[in-house]
Amino acid sequence: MVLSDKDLNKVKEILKPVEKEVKILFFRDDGPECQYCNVIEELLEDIHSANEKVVYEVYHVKKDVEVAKKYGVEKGPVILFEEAPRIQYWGIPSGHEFPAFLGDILLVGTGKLDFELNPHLKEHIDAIDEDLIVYVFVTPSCPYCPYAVKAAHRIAYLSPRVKGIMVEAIEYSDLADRYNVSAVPKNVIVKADTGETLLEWEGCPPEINAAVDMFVHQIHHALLHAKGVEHHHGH
Amino acid sequence: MGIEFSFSLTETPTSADLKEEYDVLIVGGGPAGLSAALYAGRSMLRTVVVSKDFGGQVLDAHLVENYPGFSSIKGSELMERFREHAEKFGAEMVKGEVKKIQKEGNWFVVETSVGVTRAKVVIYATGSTHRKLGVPGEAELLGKGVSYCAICDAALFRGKVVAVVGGGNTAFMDAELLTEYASKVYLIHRRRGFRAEPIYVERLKKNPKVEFVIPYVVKRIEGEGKVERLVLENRETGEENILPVDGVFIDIGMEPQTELLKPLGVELDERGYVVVGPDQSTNVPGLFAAGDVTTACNGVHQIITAAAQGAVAALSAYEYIKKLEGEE
Ligand SMILES: Cc1cc2nc3c(=O)[nH]c(=O)nc-3n(C[C@H](O)[C@H](O)[C@H](O)COP(=O)(O)OP(=O)(O)OC[C@H]3O[C@@H](n4cnc5c(N)ncnc54)[C@H](O)[C@@H]3O)c2cc1C
Repeated sequence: MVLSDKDLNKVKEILKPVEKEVKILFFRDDGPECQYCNVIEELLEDIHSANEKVVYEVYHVKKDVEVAKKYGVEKGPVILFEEAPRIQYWGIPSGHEFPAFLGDILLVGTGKLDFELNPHLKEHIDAIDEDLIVYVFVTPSCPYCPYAVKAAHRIAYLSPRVKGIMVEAIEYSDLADRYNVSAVPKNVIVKADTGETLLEWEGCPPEINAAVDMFVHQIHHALLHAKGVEHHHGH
Repeated sequence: MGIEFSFSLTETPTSADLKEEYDVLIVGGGPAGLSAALYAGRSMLRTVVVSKDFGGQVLDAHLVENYPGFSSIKGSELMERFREHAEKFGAEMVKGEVKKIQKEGNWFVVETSVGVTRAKVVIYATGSTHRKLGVPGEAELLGKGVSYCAICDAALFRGKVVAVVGGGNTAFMDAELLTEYASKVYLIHRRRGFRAEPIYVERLKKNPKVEFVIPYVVKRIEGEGKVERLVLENRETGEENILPVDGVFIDIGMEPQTELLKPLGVELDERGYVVVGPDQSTNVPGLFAAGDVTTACNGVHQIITAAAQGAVAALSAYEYIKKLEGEE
């Protein structure tokens, strides 16, 4: 057990509305990079004990090659939802990311949005016509980060073209270095096929509606920009 | 640091719906606002706190070591207790931003991001935000080595060289936190003396990773796409020095958030703080203010002083409402 009895009770309360089974897939690894993999497994077991509708399966990135390949997982630890595999956690959802993780379980388990999806935002989300990855780099002690994670994950939930990935910057320090992460939340929009970075920025408003709004508009601008550039090259 | 699972207040899923009317509406859910909510709730006033987050600046505090009764507690945990305590006495918590406050007769009409409501009393407890250095490079390199949140970003500077600018408690606490990760921490301050409590100063002086750079001010922050060096000026000799660093954390104090009060004609002092009386009242009847945003408590900006002002404001609100109802 990694959660105290008091926290376990809170988890129970929070997850009460879950209506249908939520299956979480956890891809682990061994070696120093997976220093928190055992903790993650215990955490998933704790959550399952708080609500039986939340189930999980553990795979090993190097041994369960088929499954890992199916979900495009190359390195652990990665957590994703079977029903919404575009919502991903690379690294442990601890600290301030824990409530974001519970929020995602609720989202998948109820199908109910926990923010206001106005027609304008919906239009923008529906218009996404490129496969994108939105990385949100976080540290567990950052109080502003969960809003960015939630926003990226909600867009990933709504758009089949977007993968929203929380990256714990300390566990994934190589990736954090590659994207020059020196403040969190750092958000990077990447074209899935080429890996080209379309847009990156730091920060996120600490309010879910404002956060989603920001991410949707950044994606919109990133796509416009990408098309503008392509257009330019075409001539 | 061990693994922790917070139920940070910033993310608590329960946010009450905004009702049409309250006795007391509290703007801001930091220690001042939450303490006011506790006291107002206990006084059986219909009370709501509307806030962008619950915990305020304390959410940015790594460890709080000077709140009586807790020798050392995480800032977010202390604030979770404040909130739970206030809710226990009936105060409602609504997550949102207050956009506008107007006075119509004896009522305050309050526009928020989650709807409009009215209240007999407003307790204004919006706290303060980070003051900027205002030097070239600061805005351009924000998030690229310039940070105002050590608790967020400290861990990203493992093995790196960083500077902290400031001489108050926050600067010293941040410097101490940074020594857990960075290879070297410079503390840059414009004077030879510090505002920080001696206990923080003594602890940092003993830390072999820390070097004091005094009396210096930062003239510029420079680097190609990321912070690479600071240009400093010695305040006594005027001499310029270059200090190579990978990051700079700015802790030079706070600015009160008073924009919403301007249309109401609330009196501010020359530094922009809300002028309050001993009962936390402002010059606008029914509008009380508490916490870091006010001139009270001799300018001490701490959790305990913010909480104290919240308590006084709520009890004054109670008296005010009683009087108001007596007149009706
Ligand atoms: C890094 C750091 C470490 C600290 N450590 C300590 C410590 O160890 N001990 C100690 O005693 N003090 C500490 N302090 C100081 C302490 O946090 C402050 O003095 C205290 O939080 C002030 O409380 P407050 O309620 O007045 O304002 P704040 O804490 O600033 O809270 C204001 C609240 O109002 C909300 N708000 C503002 N505008 C609006 C709006 N328009 N609509 C809705 N909501 C709004 C904000 O979101 C926030 O929740 C620290 C401060 C910092 C930054």
